[in-house]
Amino acid sequence: MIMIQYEGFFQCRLATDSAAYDSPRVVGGWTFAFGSEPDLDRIIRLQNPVALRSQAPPIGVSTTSVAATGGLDVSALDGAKMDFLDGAVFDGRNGVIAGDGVEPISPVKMKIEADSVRLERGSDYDVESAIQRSPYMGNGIIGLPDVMVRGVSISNPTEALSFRADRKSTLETELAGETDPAVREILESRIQELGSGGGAITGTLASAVPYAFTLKDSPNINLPAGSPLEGRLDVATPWNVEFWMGCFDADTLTAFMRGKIEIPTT
Amino acid sequence: MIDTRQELLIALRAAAELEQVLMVQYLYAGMTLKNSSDDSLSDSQQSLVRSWRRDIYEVAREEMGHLGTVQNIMVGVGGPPYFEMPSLPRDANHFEGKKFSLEPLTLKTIQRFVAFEAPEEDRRTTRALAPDPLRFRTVGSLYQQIADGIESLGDEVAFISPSTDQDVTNWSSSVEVHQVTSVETAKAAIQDIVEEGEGTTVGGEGSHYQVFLQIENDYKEELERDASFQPYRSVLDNPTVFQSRENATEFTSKEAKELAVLFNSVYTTMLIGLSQYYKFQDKPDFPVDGFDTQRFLRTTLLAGLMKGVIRPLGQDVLPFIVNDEDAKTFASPPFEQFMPPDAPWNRRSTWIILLERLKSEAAYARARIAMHPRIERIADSLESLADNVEELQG
Repeated sequence: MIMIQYEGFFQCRLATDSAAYDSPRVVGGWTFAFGSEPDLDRIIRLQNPVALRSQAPPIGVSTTSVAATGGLDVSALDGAKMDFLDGAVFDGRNGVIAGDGVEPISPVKMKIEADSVRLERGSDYDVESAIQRSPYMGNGIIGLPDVMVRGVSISNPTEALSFRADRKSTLETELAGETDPAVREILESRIQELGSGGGAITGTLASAVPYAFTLKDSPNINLPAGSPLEGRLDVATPWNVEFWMGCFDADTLTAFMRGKIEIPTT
Repeated sequence: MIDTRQELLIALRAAAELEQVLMVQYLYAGMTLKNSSDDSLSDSQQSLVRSWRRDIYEVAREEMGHLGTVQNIMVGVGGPPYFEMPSLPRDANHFEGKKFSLEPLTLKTIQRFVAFEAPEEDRRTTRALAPDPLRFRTVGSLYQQIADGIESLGDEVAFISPSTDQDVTNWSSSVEVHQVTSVETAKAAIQDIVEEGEGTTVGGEGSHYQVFLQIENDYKEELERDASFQPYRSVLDNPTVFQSRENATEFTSKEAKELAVLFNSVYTTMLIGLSQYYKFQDKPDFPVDGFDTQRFLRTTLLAGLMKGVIRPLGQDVLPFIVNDEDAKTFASPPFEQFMPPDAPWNRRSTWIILLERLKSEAAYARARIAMHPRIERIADSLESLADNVEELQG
């Protein structure tokens, strides 16, 4: 068995309540596309963010620990990048597929990629089917204890209360030194939004949604010649995946992910 | 004084009705606010109105959580779930001189909301077969009597239903439902409800009372700056789809009437679903391995109706449908119940009823997509929910 742990920040430029889930710019709701930014697209980007805003953390979810039973050499997966493929989204559709904190990830296809190694595996399912989507739904919103939030986006949940004011002040400083009109327009809109009240941004900083499912379709595996993993990955048994996604910063449209994946070996 | 189960159930029904009546008044005010496409508001006024809508919806969501906790207490002490509500307007007998009334967010409306959530101390005292009359002047005093009543009955007498008959899930970060199985848990749940509403006896920070007070202050300041400030769309007070009661105003246009009928219908369907949700049973409703029917009800059927149908219809469609060209009024959500929204005792029968309703509402919406661009999406949502229920029925 190969046990892989991973974590990192990701970007998700999604519309939020009470806007329609596919609103490109958002009227209502508490997330926005401003000025020259591209339309919101809901895609979960564990790598390669789009139009990343200032003050956002570096984006990239990668392995933090890789271990294997039986002395198998898994060092090729150290620091590997994780990603969802095929434009995966939190597919709630304003509750019609699923409500807050239980949105299924759709489609489910994950990639683990290091220099010379690429592992891809998904689970094909019909998100329109209540029965088929059920295993891929989130398990509800949980508050993150201080220890999990520490070192992620804020130092502890109580700081979330001053988050808006602090971020607004930082952006105002940025704006004072900015001359590009397009960047200024985005900063001004973010500052106005942060100054308008509303509590969603602080609530989401210290909460998360856990997921747990299996990847069961036939995997795509690319290994370099002579890799110690050659012929050792069990491609018939489903791979167990668990993670939580949370600490969502509605100003930068970024969040944190931490989880593990288990790959059976032969 | 509440010291019998009968009196407790009467008070809990009053509390459930009160929570729903408050919630729909708040939703009505929020849904009929102008949105950012309305150029009669300045940028700063749009920002202010957007934050008011957010705050009012947040309060309404917390009222939904209170309604859920009240259902848990009701089921715990041996009553059925209760989701009936009178159509408005109606005298708010317990709130001196105030009315329960669907009105847009005028300064008078926000002052009414402040009065509903205002803190005040009030109590009273006969054990008999006939229940004592229920008297209360604030939401908090009603809940205090319920807490006192549960304490006077005690754990063993009050809580006769198994704890598995109650909802143990928070619907979202702001819709928090408490499981209530003892005097202690009841008092804690009630304290939370009261603190979220009134705050402490002086009105705590972040309480509904304080939220509405802040809106009232901001409203007055904005009116001083701009006497023409009107944050709401021109809608009727207490609209009705047909003249069914005094002091309600019937819609004039065919479109307003027909879409308001759809709103009333889907709101009732949602309440039937809620009534079903609060009738917990050990055995699954459908022969699908590992499928959690209650989760489906909560996270898809009810969430989908609330967020994918009721809200867009009430907020994005109705206030933009012309009701009276001459009077320049628009449609709005009437929140009318023409039948008690009860789920039948047999859970499978309820699913049949829900499917019938969803299908006919979807077809009704589909036939009216020319009336507004958002209606097609609403029809899609109703069809998707109907398809899911049909899939589960096999």
